[in-house]
Amino acid sequence: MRPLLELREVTRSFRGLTAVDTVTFSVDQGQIVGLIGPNGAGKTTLFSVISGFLRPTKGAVFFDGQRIDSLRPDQVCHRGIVRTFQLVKPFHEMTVLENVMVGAFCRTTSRHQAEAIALEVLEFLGLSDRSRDPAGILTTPDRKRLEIARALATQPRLLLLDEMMSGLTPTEVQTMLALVRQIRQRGITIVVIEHVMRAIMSLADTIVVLHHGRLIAEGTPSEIIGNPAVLDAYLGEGLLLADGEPH
Amino acid sequence: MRRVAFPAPRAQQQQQTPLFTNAKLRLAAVIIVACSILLALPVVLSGFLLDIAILILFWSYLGSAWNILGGYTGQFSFGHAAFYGIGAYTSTWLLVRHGVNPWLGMVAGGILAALFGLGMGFVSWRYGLRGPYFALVTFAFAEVLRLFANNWEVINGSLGLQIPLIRGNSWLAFQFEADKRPYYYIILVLLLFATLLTYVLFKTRAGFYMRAIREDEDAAAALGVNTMRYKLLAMAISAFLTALGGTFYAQYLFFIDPGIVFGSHVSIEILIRPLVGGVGTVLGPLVGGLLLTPLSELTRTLVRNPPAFIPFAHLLQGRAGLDGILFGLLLVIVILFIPEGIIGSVRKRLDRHHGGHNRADREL
Repeated sequence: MRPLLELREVTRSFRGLTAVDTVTFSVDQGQIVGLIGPNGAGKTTLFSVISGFLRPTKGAVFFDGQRIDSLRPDQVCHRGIVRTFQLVKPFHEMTVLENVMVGAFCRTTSRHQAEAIALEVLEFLGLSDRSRDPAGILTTPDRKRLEIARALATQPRLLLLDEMMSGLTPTEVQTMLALVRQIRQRGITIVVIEHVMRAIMSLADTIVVLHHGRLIAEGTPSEIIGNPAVLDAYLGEGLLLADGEPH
Repeated sequence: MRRVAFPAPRAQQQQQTPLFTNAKLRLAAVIIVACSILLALPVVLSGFLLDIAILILFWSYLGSAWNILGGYTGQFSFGHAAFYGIGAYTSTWLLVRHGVNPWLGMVAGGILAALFGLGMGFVSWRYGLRGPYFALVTFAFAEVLRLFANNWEVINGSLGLQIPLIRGNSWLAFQFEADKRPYYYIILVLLLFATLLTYVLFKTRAGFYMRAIREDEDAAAALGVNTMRYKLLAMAISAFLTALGGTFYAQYLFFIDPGIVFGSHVSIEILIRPLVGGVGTVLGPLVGGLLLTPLSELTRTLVRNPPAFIPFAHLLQGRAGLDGILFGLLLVIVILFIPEGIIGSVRKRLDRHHGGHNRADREL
């Protein structure tokens, strides 16, 4: 079976600094893939390359067999890949419903259709009762939900989640984990960047570890936990399996 | 066939919101009353007051045009004088040198300004200029046009162009020297058109996209918005409407020169009303125009002919530029205390007391 997303020797450097260095891996349809690594490992840069915000310096990105690394972000979104941002970016002055409608307009020009899609997504995420509130007044967990809601409204096949657990309490993390699993059940493939190790171990089918821009390990969560290279990379980063952020 | 996780529900399952809610009916009533008053005003106004009324509508109109780009789309233009001047010069030059009807010239000026705006926007945005940098570039473009016009023989350089007067009123010639009321109705129609266009545009996908760009360009792009395309669209509409205002001004005062139409004071006058009234709201430019236009006229007359009952007022007499300072001071106060504009601060207050639920005013 052809992988849904395939990265071939992707390199991205910024004026001599190589943020992502010859990274090759692929994601199969229906998987949840965890992308982990210490701070500055190049995880977010990799997301930016996949989603069209950055061009790779070298290498290629394929989605569903087609090369996408020269497309703009909006074109990548239309192909079916959508990303969220680590620092969530709600459209403050717009209502929650309007925020999600912007995503929904990716697949329809009709305002009524967009509203219908948005209402369904909000229902799925349990944000229905906030739909008329301006997004600027939402709490942190609700903002993260909204970020996901907007992304889902674009009808993606591949969802890139950037640190959705950071800043959440342990209870909120549990809710978020359940949500990500539910999204997968809808048939959406997911790549998550995560710092909370325990969370990702229970969530991902496969884990990819980046360190200094290089891919240093790839495998199931149990393989990764026992991998000495991974433990080395995380040395000094604090408690590996803590629920909070390892700072 | 790919599976769609969140398909749009079929039509019969769609939630139907009632066509007329109470809030909407009330809103419609207010609009009808306001329009009737606006239509009837010239019957009772004349002379100085009619002039003021025309100026209020005129600046509100230009503010609405600016608001589409600067307010809703968040691309703060400091150089709308460029479009205004292109509009004024195109129609006037065509009329004076080639005898082209000013109504046609008006449309030609609009198209030319839109094209200029597209070029300016593309160059600026292509190189990633945002916020204050974009504002500076638009300012520079307008200044370059002013200097260019100052030295271009074809349009009579710094001497400007005089529109040949016909005696009396003529709709065909766009001149109403005997009775100014038609000017009032023309600018009223333009203002209503711009307001309606804004209201309708921001209910469509393009309007949603423009607002999303204002709020966060990267987030918008990630959600499938071709940010360049929608910024250019906002630019073209805004430039076109502004240029129509330029032609109106030329036909109203019969004389233009580079300083009058391309000067930076024009850009400032255009953006200040939506800024005070409420950026990115349908009614903001109207509220700002209604407030600031009489205010600037008032400070001007106050300084030029101070009334006797204010003590020491005679000391102000003849101090050129003082009216501008006074006006500026008032603006600083407004911006310090209500940075989100009048409409914005009222809305925030309502939000706090009633929540954001289904209030009709949110759409204005």
